Amino acid sequence: MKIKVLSAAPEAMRLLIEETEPAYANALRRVLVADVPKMAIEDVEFHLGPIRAEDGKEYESVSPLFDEMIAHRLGLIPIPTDLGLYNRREGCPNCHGEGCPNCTIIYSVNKRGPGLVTSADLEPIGDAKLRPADQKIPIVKLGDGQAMLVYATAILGDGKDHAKWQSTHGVGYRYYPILKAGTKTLDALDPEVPFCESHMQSTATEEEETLELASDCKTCKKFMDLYKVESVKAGNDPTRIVMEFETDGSLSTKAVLVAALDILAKRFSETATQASALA
Amino acid sequence: MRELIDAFFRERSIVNHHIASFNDFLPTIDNPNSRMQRIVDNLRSSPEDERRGIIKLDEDRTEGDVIEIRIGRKRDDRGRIDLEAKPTITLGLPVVKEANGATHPLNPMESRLRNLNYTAPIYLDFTVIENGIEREPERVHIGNFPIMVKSKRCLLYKENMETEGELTIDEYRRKLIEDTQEDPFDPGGYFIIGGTERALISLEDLAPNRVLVEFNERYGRKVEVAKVFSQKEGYRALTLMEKKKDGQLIVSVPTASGQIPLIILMKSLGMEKDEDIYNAVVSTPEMANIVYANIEECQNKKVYPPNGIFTRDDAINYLEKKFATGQAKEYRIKKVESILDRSLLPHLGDTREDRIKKAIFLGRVARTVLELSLGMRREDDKDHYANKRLKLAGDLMEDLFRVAFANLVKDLKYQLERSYARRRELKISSAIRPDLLTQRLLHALATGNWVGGRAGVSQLLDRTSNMSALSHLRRVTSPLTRSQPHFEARDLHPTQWGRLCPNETPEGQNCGLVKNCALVIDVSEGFPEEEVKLLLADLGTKQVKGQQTQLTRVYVNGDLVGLHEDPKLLVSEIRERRRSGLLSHEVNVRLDENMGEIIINCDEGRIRRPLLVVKEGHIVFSRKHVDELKMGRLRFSDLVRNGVVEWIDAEEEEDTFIALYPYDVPSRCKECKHPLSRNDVTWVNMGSRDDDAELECVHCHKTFRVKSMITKDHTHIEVDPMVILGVASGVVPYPEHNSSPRVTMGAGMAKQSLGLGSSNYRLRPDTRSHLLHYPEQPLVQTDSMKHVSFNERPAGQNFVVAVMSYHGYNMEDAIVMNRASIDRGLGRSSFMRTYRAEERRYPGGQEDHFEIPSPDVRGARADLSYANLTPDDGLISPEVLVNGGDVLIGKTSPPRFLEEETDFLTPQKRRETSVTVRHGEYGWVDSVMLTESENGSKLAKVKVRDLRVPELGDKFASRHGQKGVIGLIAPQEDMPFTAQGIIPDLIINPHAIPSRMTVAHVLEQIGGKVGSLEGRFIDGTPFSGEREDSMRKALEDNGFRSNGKEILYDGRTGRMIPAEIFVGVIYYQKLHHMVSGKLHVRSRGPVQILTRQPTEGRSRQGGLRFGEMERDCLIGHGAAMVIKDRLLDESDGTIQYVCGNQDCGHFAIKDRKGNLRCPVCENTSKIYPVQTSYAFKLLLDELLSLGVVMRLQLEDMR
Repeated sequence: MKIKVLSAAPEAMRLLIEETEPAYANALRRVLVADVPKMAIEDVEFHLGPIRAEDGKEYESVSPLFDEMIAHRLGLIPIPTDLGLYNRREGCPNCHGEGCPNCTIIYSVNKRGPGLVTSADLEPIGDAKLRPADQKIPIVKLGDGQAMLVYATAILGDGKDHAKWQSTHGVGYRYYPILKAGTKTLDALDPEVPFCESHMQSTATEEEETLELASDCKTCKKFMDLYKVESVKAGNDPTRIVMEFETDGSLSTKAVLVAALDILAKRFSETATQASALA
Repeated sequence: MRELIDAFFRERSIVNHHIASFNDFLPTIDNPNSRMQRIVDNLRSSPEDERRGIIKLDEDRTEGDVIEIRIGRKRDDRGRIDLEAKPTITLGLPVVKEANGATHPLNPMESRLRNLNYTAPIYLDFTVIENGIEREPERVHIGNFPIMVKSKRCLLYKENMETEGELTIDEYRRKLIEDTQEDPFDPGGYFIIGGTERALISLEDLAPNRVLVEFNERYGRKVEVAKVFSQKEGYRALTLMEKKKDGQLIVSVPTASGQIPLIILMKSLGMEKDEDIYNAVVSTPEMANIVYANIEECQNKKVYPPNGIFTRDDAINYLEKKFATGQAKEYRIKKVESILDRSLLPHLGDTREDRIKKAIFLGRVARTVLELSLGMRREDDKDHYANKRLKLAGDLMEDLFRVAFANLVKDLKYQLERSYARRRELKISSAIRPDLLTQRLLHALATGNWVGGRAGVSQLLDRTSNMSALSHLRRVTSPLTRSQPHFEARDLHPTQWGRLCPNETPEGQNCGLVKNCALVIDVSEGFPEEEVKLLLADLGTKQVKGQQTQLTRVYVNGDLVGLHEDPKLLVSEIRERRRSGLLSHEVNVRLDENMGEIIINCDEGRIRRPLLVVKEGHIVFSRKHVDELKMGRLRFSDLVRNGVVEWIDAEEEEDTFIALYPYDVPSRCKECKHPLSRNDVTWVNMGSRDDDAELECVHCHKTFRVKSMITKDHTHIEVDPMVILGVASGVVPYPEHNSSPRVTMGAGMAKQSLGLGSSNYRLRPDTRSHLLHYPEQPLVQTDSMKHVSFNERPAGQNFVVAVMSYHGYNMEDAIVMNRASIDRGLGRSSFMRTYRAEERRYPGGQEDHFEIPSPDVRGARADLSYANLTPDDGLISPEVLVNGGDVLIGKTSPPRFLEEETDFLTPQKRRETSVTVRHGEYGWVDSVMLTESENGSKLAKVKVRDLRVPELGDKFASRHGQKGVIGLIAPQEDMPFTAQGIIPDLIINPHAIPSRMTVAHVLEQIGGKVGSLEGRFIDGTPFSGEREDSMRKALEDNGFRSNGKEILYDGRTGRMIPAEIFVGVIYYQKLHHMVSGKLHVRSRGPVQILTRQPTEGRSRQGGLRFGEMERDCLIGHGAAMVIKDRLLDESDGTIQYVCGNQDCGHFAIKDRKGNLRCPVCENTSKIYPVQTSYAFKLLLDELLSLGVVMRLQLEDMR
């Protein structure tokens, strides 16, 4: 298995995996989706009863949304995560699950209405770097005389337990398409080649399939003009896989990929140890 | 012509029919001749009293004084009401009278919170006339009247709000939110009784006072029958006339048993001359013989001894003999008078002078019967909507108020007569009992039991979602019973087009009987008949006696008013006047050329639909009108007044030739080749005299011409075909591509969907309510959504849906959901239940207390159960997690009155009557409300909310009647994915599509996909939505396949799925059938007291019935012990002691000391235990109570 990074941005990445099988690519995909950990808010503590402001005005600790809705919304806010820094709470060597700066981030929201509470109002206790990456996520709109005083605890988790711990989105891959115009083999993913998703894609994996091109389709028309053919031969190469994914901003694409491969490596090495132990 | 519909809804709300009808009933300043006032004017305090609107006290009880009290408006010498006279009845704005006597204005939200009635005081002016001397009128509060929310007497009515100057719609909405805590999109149109919202269901009824002829089967023979439902002031009487096989015409009159020959009846009504009778009936020579035979029959001395019937006196004598034989002469006269004046055709009047009118009317009925029997006339179609009238909220309240008011006056009269004394001033206010009226009104509204024995007239307003509330307020029911088949009545009738929704009806026993209004309708409110008659006389309608004529008969509201020589001219003249605004738009006219009749209707309750007027092949509505509508310079009602649009009832529609569309839109733009839908072009030369329509394409803004489809023969053109659908079917996109039953099911399910029901959900104290956390506007919209504020109060979410199988977990309409989607908030909702308790007062001065019950209270729980309650008021705090059985409100009540006597003279203990959370439910306390009820006692309401995350078994549905329950919640990584990494939220089974033919479901998926790719809404309006080819092209332009299929990879194996899978985005609704509200198990539990069998039903933790068929199954298996286990041991098995004496065999008892003894034969030795079911013991005991002894004869077991 060879991994080639086709394009990489902090929040989106495109890879070409060669000399592989779908099972390997899928293993990577599944780890990306479900196993790479990140921080997310898990516990939210609401202040109940009246909230008194500095100026002596009294606010009610209510909002249009129910507390569980607010808690759910807080949970989904991407929190910048340094995977090297945090441990899982239950396995934290420092505090043994009590909660410490190595496994927990505590945020507070203290906002008085009227106004919109956004992710920018999440105030981390400690490092200012822990502010949510996206500052514009709306949480709730407070009315006049309403206020919100909330303590939220973020811990490390993975996507298997809840989607809020999923660091990647839009993780997908495709077999490398095989495209032949007459005798000429083309690279379907080359931007120069007018590759029509509608008319030049096949579900065939074993042999190539002959597909008629549609003259009323813009891309096909371009293709036909370029290569002077009426039909193409199309197929898929399951040994070459193009994968793409994005992150939600809590981790960089590179960090996610490294973490995922790391997890895979650990698992495979365990399997290998077991195999050699049995042999 | 969507501009027109927009203009309509700018002027009228979606429940305008109810509100307008109720406003017409209310006595307000701008409505001096209100229906309420007319009831008061026309009241007759006793049947003997001829005069109306006056209470006359019995002279025997007033020591000879003549005491009259006028309550109606003053009348002139001829008994006519001076329309200028001041109204005597007035209605205030809603107020509440507190227990301490203070009153203050009441707004709907306070009524809901405090379980109050939203009522306003009624005042009536009483003018006492004592021995001819008229005193000053006295204004007295006579009761409270329930007020419809957003009617003219409601505090939410725009003009009742205290403001400076006219409010704009936005200012009004803002004020609603801030001042009254209302949802600005609440439709109104309902009442608030005891804190609950009640909707009045419109009733569909046969039109009154019309002659309907039909054939009846009698003993296998066809009999011609004419029916007249005569109705006046709430009194309904059915008069029936039939032609017997021998040609005899007979009449049946209500309250008079038996049948009366027509001729005798006519003679008794004063039509003595045979020639008059002949003229009154016969229209063609063929009838003559039948009428002759009828007249001669009456002269037969043998049949009508002694001399046959010739004169009026003969006839009356015959009737007296027939209906009051052997009674005193006075009584006989009275009885016949009552039949002739009151029971027979009451709509024509109830005085002696009206009798001749009745005779003429009967002649006409006879003519219709004979015409039917001679084949000159066809049977009337009862299901034709011209023969139907709607009774709206105003009409129903009118019926109710009339009866309640008559009761009040009767009581008042009685009270005044009883306490009458000379020289003491008559004081109305101390004699009247306002509660009598109020209670009568409230009771009917609270229970739905209306006057006339109809039940279910008022129903609890369905607040599941905004859509269900709107649909509920537009519902129409038929009084036909559900049990009988009534196939014709259930069928969709062509005349329902545009009036009632063809799809929105329940499935099952009420199918076709319960209907819903189409989107744009108007229910006529009634226009004075007299004015129409005057106009007809002006236009040359002649009054002619007799039926024989070559001229056209003119009917107004079913009454023959005269003849006309040139019917076409008359009809066109009336229409011309109506179109120029000289005549009310309520008057509808039809020329029936086959029967030679002109039928004019101006009564109330006709459902009418708007049509655009076509004159000489050209539409009157023009571009100019559209522009002025848009600028707000013109309103919909102006168009009606100017004859651009007409309201057409089902009768007049028979006279029209309506074009569906003005032109056909080519499938592609002639200039830019873009696929065109009906809504993609603007009709540039609308209203011009050109023969071609010039259309402008919205894509390229170039114009082209198409042929107009309006011909010279057309009289009207449809406003827009989408308005034939109702509010619930209107939200189904592309319904024209679906099979009809699926649209019906889609409409039905839209009413069960959860969404944002109202924006004030945190304040409303509804007993049950739901809230979808993330409601979305559908990507595929319909035009009618903006009129039902669906986008402001949506109920559903846009799901990414793949159509494929998934390991068998979506068989049989199950659905597979993505767990990550659910984690991210898809389909989450909250369920809220409000519990209430009141500190009731009991006779004897005792009352309930909100408190933590002390341990010495009977039935007190452990201290721990009350741990969450506040000690001083016994109430729980908000945001506490509660489970089934937890105490929300601690309450104790005084001991029951007849408790089992205690042996010692200890004071009886108070009882614990705390309010607890329902079994099997849990949640957080959302809000705790403490207030004061109407009678001054404490009233507490506790709202508990519970988060409902989609789980296995929850029900979801698209808008196309495609419903399913969750069969699997799959982890995201196991779900199939596309190359782009798109993972469906939902996987439905491909088998759901072909046999159900929900093509629109597929179309919506494509539309939703295009919408999400291009960031726009797709128009899926019925009959004019965006074209399929346009959407397919858009898919292709965005790099997808035009058929919407995609290549998916299996999330488990990672391999490509060797098939193309259809993926799209479609609006799905979460329905309120959720597993958490249904799941139920029982191992042990409560039993019924009487039978000791397990209780029934989930709410009582009941058992699951082991029924007959289950028993049969076990018999088949020979599993006798299992049967015994289920039916005896696990049910009501019991050991009873039975007396072993062969001649006794009664049940024995165990006395206090533990000794067994037969109470009958005092035997104490031979007593044996017997295992039996308790039901059997109960049977023996019950038989014993009947005096039947069943003896149990015991034998040794063999």
